[in-house]
Amino acid sequence: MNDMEPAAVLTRDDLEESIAAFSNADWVRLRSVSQLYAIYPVEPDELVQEALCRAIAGSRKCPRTVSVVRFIAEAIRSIAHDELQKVENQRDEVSVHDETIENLDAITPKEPGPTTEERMISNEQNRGTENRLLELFDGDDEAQLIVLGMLTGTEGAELQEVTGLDQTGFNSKRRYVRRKINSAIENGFIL
Amino acid sequence: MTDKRSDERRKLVSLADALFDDLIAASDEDILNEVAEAGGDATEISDHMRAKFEETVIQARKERMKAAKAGRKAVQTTPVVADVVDLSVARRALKKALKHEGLSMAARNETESDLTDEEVVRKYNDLIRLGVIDPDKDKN
Repeated sequence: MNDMEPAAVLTRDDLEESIAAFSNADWVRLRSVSQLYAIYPVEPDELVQEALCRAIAGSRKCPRTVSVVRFIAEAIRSIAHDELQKVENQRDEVSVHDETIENLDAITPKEPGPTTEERMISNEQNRGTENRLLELFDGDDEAQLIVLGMLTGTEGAELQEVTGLDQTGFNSKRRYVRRKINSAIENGFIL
Repeated sequence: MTDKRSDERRKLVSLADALFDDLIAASDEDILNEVAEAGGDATEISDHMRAKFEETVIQARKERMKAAKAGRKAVQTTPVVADVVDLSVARRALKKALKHEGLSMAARNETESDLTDEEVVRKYNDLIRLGVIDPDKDKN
């Protein structure tokens, strides 16, 4: 994206101006995106601020053809994916450490690991996040199937088929799931 | 970080990905209604987000200012490497150049022996800049 023609992307001033003109709905939308991607211990505010920071610093360029709200939302998504990657890299290092490497001093973790206290909080926080999510939809089998499918990366036609819903019904149910989750987070539910 | 924690995180990111497009496609009206139904205050949320944005802009400007200052400092502290001129070479080149027919009368009327070392170096450099003296050629 950085190789795009300068005229094809917004300048920093354009971008700042566009963001400064965001409506309440734009900000609420971005907050909702950040809430979905803010998985403990990451806070929604941190994700939004990091995304804004990258946009303003110019490390991410916004094509003129893309809405700035979507651009910031995509940045939030990208940061969340980076975080996931970091966590997975840490896991890889730990498993190599445990199983095959004899010289422990040779291992240099990319980031300091969580303290015992942080680990305990994290484990407690995340014990059964999946179950807690499903509990939000108690008695609604279709919604629970959709949540389960999304958690495991099953999407689109395949997921629709599993639920037995037609396209309209499926879209409507998926929207309901999203609203319910956002609403739960608004009321203190932590992912 | 345990495998379980990492797997769970991956699942939650997958869930967010699946809901992302719906959130982006929702109308402004729906978005505002949703937050109101959940007991949130859109204005309060927006004000908070705007404040975060302002903080980010100010921080980014500070960073740019810091980077600009660091850049200027680097330029200022770059050691100036003065051209080292062998005075005898400069005098010889100057003597030769002052005999050059293309030079002005005033220039030709000067002789290198009348000039101080400092003047020799200054004129030598001037004539290099004018293309009269080729330092590489005159060195040999």
